[in-house]
Amino acid sequence: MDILQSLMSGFATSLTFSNILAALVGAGLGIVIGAIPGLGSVTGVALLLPLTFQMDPITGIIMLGAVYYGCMYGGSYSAIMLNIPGDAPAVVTALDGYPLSKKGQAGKALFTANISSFIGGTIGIVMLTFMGAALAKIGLLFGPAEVAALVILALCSIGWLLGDSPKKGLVSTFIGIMLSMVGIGLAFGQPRFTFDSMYLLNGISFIPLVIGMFGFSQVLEMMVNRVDAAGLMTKLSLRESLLDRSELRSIIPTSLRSGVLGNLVGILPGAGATTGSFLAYVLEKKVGRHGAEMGTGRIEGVAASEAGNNAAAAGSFAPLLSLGIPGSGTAAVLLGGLMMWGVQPGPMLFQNSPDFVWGLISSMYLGNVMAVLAALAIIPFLVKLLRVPPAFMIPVIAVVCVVGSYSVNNSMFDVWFMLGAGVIAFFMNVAKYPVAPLLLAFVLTPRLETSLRQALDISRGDPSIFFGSPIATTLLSITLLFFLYPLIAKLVRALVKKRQLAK
Amino acid sequence: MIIVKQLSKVALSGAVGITLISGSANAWEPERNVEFVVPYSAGGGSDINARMLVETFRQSDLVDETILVNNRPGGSGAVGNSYTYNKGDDNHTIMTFNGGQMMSMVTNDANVQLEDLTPLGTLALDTLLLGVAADSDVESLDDLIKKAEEDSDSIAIGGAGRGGEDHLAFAMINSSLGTDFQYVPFGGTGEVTSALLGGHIDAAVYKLGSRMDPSQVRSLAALSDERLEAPYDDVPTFAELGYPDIQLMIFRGYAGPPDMSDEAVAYWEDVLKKASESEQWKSDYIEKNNLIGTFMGAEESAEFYSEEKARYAEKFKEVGIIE
Repeated sequence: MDILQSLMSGFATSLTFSNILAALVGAGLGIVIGAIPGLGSVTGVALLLPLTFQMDPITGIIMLGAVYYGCMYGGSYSAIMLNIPGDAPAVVTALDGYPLSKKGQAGKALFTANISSFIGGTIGIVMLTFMGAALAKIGLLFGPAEVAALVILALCSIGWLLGDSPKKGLVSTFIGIMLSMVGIGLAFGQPRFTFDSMYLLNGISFIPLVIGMFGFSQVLEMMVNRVDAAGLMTKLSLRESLLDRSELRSIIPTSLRSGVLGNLVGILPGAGATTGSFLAYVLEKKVGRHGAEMGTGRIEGVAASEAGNNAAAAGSFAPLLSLGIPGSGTAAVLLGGLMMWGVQPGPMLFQNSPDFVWGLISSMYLGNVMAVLAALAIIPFLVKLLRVPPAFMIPVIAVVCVVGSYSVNNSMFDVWFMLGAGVIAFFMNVAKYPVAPLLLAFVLTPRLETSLRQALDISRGDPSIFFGSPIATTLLSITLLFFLYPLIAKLVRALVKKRQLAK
Repeated sequence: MIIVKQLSKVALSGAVGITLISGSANAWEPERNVEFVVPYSAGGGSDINARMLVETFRQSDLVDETILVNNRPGGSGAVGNSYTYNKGDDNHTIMTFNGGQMMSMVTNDANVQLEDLTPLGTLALDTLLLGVAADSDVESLDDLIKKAEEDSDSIAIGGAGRGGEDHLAFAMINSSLGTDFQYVPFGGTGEVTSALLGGHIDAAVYKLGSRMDPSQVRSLAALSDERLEAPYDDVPTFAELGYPDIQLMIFRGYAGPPDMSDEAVAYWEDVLKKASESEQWKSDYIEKNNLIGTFMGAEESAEFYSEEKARYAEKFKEVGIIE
């Protein structure tokens, strides 16, 4: 049990008063940063990085790790309470989180988010501890062709979220695909659909789009439809927000499944936490007991998404530590930090600086515990916040929307864009066109286009690259099976009926 | 824009004339807060560069007034470039200016070009290398060329982005070697490394500053003008291998608005020079980011940039990125 021994010595390094304090402060800051729409973990870690240079390297990385975890917890708050996802993975959390808030169960949703974040994060860290290097090697097997196949599977799964009318869902999905095409395409390096505006050259920014589509459209809806707003602001006590035993029993298996899946997706190069939380949600919808009701406000939906994205966040550390390859934007910023301290991540890291590595890994356990404690402590205040009357709440949300979208690029263009997106999403809601497929398609399509082009560049246009790889072939077969499943099921049913009739 | 530029030049020369007549030859110094424009987002390479420079200014007491970093990302640098351009004759605005920013001016045919800005100085250089996975059977550039001759379609070379430094380096390599390599653009050097180690691509181009680990990646040749320092001191340059045309030094410099006064240019040039000589800059920025420290003044930078810009345009035409 070499690993356990190393881990224990890691704890010996990390469990000092100043380190625990650093973890607590980091977790608190992270929760606040994550909860503010427009500020995500990448910005949080990047802004705090210079601060930590004054510290001892281990204390510094513990603090940054705690900030990272805190952000993942905080990101779900605004998604659940205001329907404004703080970052891309939280879009999936909002699918069930906000309907729960509307039912007056925001407290339950917040508790679920925190508990399943903790479970997902812990699964991720445990897998990283015991199989980090092996997992990172598996990640390498995913080249462009395999990632393309995985994203095709994810993109096709959006169909399950389409809601009442598949036609309307498809329209929304295609709008998302079209919006994602704006900007310089990686494939040809040519600007597309930019209308000669330099603001569109780098494409449409996700944060203003999501704040507008979810948050600002909500403001409009609350202004127009007062009843709805009143439902959202129902009084609730802390006791009502606690989960009862049967609810706990229901989200734990969900969190475990989602955690393992999310962790595996997090390890893949460039797949990211959004794909992780989304695939976990889809899995839950397919295999979970309450799958059919997900999307209408089920705590299992919140649990799947949150466990999935926290586990994916931990997963992105595996390639960072064992190969020196960052698996996410935040991991890339942390990589910069490691180098500033003179630590060179890579295969030699475990041999050259075992103190540091095991200190870091043990600090993740510490950071996760601190983050869940800080998050649980904040819930009572958040619940109180929900009692603020709509007359005060609406302007506050509107201000948060404007500030959040401005702060991404310091640009007024983004604010106008956010307002426009909000108006469009408001009318989409009125006409019962779901907004979530649009945003998920917007996030997933560029990934698909990039990987598909890379795969075809490598093979010089020969599509056989998708069939030469067992992983890609398997993923594509699963996708095909999902498509054909309704048809096959219908056929089987017809056959059975025929046989019965014949009898 | 050209007309505006000409007019403002006339106006500027008039102003200079008046100053000369009145005989005040006082050196310029900032009188209020200075705005430091970074045309990329917080946490990126240019942002780190700017913040480290501000820290060096502060610790060495080079600039008395406060310098505020202002991130203006978007349009591959175009948003920041035009923001600085619109500052006209403001002596209190400076901006980070790097090779990638200039390449996107060329490839996107941007409104604000090099000629619309005032180069102030250059403090760091980066270069690129061509390499394969450490466990590859390709040991040298010759091996790679041989492998390509055996199967002309087989070699795929990854790099970060399309129309940027990595792509340009690839274009130089491919055209000078006369090979038919295929370029595969990735989102960043991290993704390139994954694909290389996973065997999905055969070789990769990457920046010196990205610190590729020699135990993972075997560098075959460098695009630098002379041998690099350890751990790349055993990597030959392309020039040594007989391809002097394959050479690319990427710069990290600074620029101001179009009509910054000559006195202000001299001031910024001077503080940049002093910063480049400080120990803190050398150890905390140059060494830690694995860059090549240098100093080029305003005039020298302007010349270097315009020569490089012409070279970029020519190569990008060759590979069909621009017409």
